[in-house]
Amino acid sequence: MASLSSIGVSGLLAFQQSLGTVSHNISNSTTEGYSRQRVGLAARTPENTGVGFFGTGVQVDSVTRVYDQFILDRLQTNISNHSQSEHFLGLVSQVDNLLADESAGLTPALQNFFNSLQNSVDDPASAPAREVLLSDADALVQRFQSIDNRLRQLGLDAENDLVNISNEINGLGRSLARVNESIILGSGSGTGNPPNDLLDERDGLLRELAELTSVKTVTQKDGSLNVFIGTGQGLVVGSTVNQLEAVRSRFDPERFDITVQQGSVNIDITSQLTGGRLGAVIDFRDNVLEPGLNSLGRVATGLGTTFNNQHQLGVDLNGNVGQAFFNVSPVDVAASNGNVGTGNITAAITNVADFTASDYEVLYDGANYRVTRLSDQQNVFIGDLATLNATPVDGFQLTVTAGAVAGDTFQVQPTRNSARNIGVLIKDNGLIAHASPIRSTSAISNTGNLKFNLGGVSGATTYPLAADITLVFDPNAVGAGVPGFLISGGPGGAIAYDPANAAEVNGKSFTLTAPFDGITFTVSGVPATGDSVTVTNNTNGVGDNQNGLLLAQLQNNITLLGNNTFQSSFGELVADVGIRTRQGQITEETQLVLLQQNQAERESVSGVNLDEEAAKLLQLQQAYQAAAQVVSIANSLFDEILATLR
Amino acid sequence: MRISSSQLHAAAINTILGQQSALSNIQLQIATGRKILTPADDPAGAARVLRLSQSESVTGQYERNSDIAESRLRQEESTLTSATDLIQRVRELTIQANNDSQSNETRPLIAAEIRQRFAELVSIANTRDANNEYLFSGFQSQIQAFTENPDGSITYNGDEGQRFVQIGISRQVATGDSGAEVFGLVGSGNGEFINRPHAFNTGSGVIDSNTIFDTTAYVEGDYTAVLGQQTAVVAGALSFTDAIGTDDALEYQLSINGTSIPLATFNETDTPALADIETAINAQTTTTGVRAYVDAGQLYLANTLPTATPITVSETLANASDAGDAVTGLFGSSLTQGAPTNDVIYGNANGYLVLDSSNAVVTSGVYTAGSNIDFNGQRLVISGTPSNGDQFSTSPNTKQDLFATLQSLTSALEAPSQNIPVIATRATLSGFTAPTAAAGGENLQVTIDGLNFVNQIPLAAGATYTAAQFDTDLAAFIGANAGYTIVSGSFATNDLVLQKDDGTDLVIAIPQNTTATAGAVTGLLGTTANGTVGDTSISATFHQTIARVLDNLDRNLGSVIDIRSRVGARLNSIDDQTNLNEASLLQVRETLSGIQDLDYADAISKLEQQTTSLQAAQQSFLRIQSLSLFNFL
Repeated sequence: MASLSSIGVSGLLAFQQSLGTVSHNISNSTTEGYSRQRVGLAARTPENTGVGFFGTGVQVDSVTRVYDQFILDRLQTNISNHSQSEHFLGLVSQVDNLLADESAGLTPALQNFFNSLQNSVDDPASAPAREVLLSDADALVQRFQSIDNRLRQLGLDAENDLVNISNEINGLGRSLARVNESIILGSGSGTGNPPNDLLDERDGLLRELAELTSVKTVTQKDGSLNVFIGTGQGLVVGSTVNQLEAVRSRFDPERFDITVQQGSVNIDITSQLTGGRLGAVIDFRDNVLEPGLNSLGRVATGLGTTFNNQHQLGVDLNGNVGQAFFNVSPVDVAASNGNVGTGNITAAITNVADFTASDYEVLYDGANYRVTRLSDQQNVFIGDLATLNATPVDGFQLTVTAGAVAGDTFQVQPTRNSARNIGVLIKDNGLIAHASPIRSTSAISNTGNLKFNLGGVSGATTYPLAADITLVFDPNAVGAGVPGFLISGGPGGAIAYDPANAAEVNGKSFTLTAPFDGITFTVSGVPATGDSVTVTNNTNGVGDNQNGLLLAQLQNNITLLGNNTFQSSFGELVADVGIRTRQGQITEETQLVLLQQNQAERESVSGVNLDEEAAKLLQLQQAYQAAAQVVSIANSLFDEILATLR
Repeated sequence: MRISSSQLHAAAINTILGQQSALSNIQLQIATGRKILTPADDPAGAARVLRLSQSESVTGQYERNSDIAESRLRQEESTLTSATDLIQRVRELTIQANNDSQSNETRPLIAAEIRQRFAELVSIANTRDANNEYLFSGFQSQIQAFTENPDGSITYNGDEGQRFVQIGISRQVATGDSGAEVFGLVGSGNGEFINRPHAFNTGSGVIDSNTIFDTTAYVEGDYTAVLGQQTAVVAGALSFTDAIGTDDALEYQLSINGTSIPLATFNETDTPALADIETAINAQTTTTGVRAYVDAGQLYLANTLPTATPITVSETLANASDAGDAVTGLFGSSLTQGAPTNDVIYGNANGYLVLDSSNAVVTSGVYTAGSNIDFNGQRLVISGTPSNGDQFSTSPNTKQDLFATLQSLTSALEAPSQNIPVIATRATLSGFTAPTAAAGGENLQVTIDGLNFVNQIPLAAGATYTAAQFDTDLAAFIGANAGYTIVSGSFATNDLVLQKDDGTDLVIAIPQNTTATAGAVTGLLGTTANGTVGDTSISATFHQTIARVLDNLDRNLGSVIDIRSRVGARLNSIDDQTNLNEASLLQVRETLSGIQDLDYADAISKLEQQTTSLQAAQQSFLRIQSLSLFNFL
């Protein structure tokens, strides 16, 4: 039978150790990721005597942490999700705020530009009004550039983030591998007891990793943990780390893709990375920033092209045909740096109304070219070189030279750099083309009441006209007894007009024959024989604002950019970013609630409750005091025996 | 559920943080007065705000445009009002000047005021707007609209361009009118004549101009210049040579363009006059397409319609049997028995004929490109190479632009005084020759204004009615009829000046022979020529001119008033659009405010609520934190 004192001492020791663990718990009550520990006490092996088993006291069986692996796994996922939504919200809010600022958005600059345009059109010869128009045009392109620049700055930050985050992931991978090693050693020390604090450390590292990207783990028999990211690419396998690497994109050296080393090859896993800050950055870059730049660029190209087209149909103060008003960025085509062939692609704008805000990829498969619109992954064209060269795609025409090898790829960005490159080409306010290139003059000698109204002009005719076009009324112009106008200059010939026909007298429209089919006009009234009208170049027509009026009307034209005005096209971008931000906010809130619930669950299981520990402290203290009393009683019993024997 | 201490803490802190963030959002909304702080607050709303703010900005711009249009139109209207007043003043002056009570001294005074008005009109027509642009020069707003030429006429330098201003999303309004239209240049011709080439002309001839160079000789009317061949045909006997041998009845035959002219078959005894040849040729005109004219001893041939085909005149000697038989044709061919036929071909025209509206020849001559063709006070200039039969017509254009009207008015008023009867009608006599009866038995009658002056005096053959007798009769006439005065002189001294005091025309009809032919009393013809006293035709010309001026003034006034009413209509349309714009602006602003403006009552009550929640959270946190078992150890 074990001595009373030995039993008492076993109690003292056990309670002392338990008190130590309680103190450890109290001390770590605010330690991040700490799991409370529990001392497992067990009765010592009893002593078998003839009359039965006598207890021999207590012993410490184990010190374990209290945790729930299922909760921990969910926590990891939620941390990834929350971290992604939080970081994404942070990024998208920057764009949201950029667009929210009414005075910094495109809207006021666009409105100012068109308002100055109208002011200048109201008074086409006024140099101050023209100068204001030019300066507002400058302000408009600067606004395009500054919004573009700020978006690009965010893009650069995002690219830096990609590099930094992949480095952080590599660091965490290495730490995890090291902890794995320690755990294998600790677990392997023979006792079979868990290395509690190391496990907590590894859980902590995993949570840190989860903040960066989604993580999946598989625990091995030896206690080590394999860590997988993306769609199952191993980051840490045992004590080996596969490094992530940010490499420059094949089309754009300023853009990074994430690759992971697998065996001897690096695999591009950019599109597979979700969750965490990394997922947020990639999502932001691919789905907000680049589409945003494209959308903004689409407004810039749309405005620049349509404005230029109309401007080039007018004449300026010097009587010269209008030049391009805005500098419009061309459609950018980049060949992949992995291309083997020598084929080259160039692109030109055909119809800006068909433009989308998407990028395109062209793939040559050895026989055919395939053009894929990246926004919706639609193949907008599949066919051979000759067909592609004759088929405009979404508003632009590709011109492909032979020499591509199967597998060669090209990237087409119709509007990516448009907002950055838009500029005002006209520096002299006199070069603004408000006037129509031609005007009509009825001869002063006319005696009839002929009315002649020039319609709009189109680009089908080249201006200035080489010679005046004169129409003279003749009762036999078209043939004996068939009245009309004899045309001299221009296309020549004759056109029929019958003053005896009431419908024609109320107005008959004409378009001259090619190449003068850019000129349309309406004739009304009853001309006398020999009455004439001359269509001349609008020399000195500084008071004419016909072309200016057409320019101003572009502001409200809804057919320019896929049923959008410039303004509403920009509004679409704002609404899109707004919706994404709103979604981001809701997702972040949801994820936060989930995370907090999860954390509460984890805390509920593993967290330290000070009141609980205080109670334990009291309980253990009392037990310790009792055990001490046992020792004391053993001692006094011994003293009794000694005194009896004395 | 078991709660860990740190979670208790964290949960409380999270709540407080959440409350603070909500509070800060409401505070920001109140501070900015906006419900939508970033597009994320209301993405659809944010996009609508952009659309509506564009609509607001555009509508605001339309209002500014309307103001500009209105100010330009008001300026145009006030300019047109000045023009209207001016025309009405000129009209008054014209009516005043037309009155025969005006004298040669007073008309130039009126003309002087009209000259002033003319200068004023030019300056009105050259009105410039606030930007120094000409109101009435169309698109060429920096080119002076009307410039005065050295001869006083006005040239319009502008065009018919009209500037429009956008005053509504689909409404434009013209902010001006072309000077050509305002001042009546449109459809006025060149101010004097309308010149036209015939539509079928085949030659290169063009009519350069037609002007009045002699107003006294001017006869208004429609004239046609026909280009034809001035032939060398002369009247008289044809010189046939009937050779000795057979006595033939030689005949000269003529055919034109293959058609025989039967009346132009002449024998040795015929002596055709030019008129006979003309009649002969014109009898076949419908077949030959060629017409003959005689004027000033010349025979002309011309196609009735312009054609590029030359006229072929074939002359034939008929009935010749001897080799010596011959004749020289009217058109110059030497015809013999051996070569009895010859064609004379007339291509391009070498002569001109000016016909009046009744197709009578007014003048004719040899055509030289670019030289003057003068007739009835007009000077027509044709240049180029016309074909035979080419025609050019010229007729007076009664429509004149305002400037030309005023000019013709001043020149009419300032014309030499003798052209216009003044105060009283005067007759000045000179070169008087007393009439002498030829056969005897003629009665001499002379009237003044239809009243007998020399009344039915029978004259014996060779008898002369002397100047002294005329003087006696005149004295008797004046004694019997009031209102006539002898200013000075007499028939006897051949310097009589007679005046009719009421200012109406003085018409002396001489001779009035009731019983014999006019020519029977010789010597009176000269008298009439010299005695065209109180020239009624000139007076009529003056009044005609003034009537035409009044016509034109009314027409021009009409066109200015017409344009004024158009300007008024535009101003109305601007008012109308301004109302629409304002209504739409109000609506847009209301909608905009509904979307983005904060409801303060709502926001402040939320702020209160949020503050209370925050305070509660903070206080409960403190309570919970103070609870710990350790406090009791």
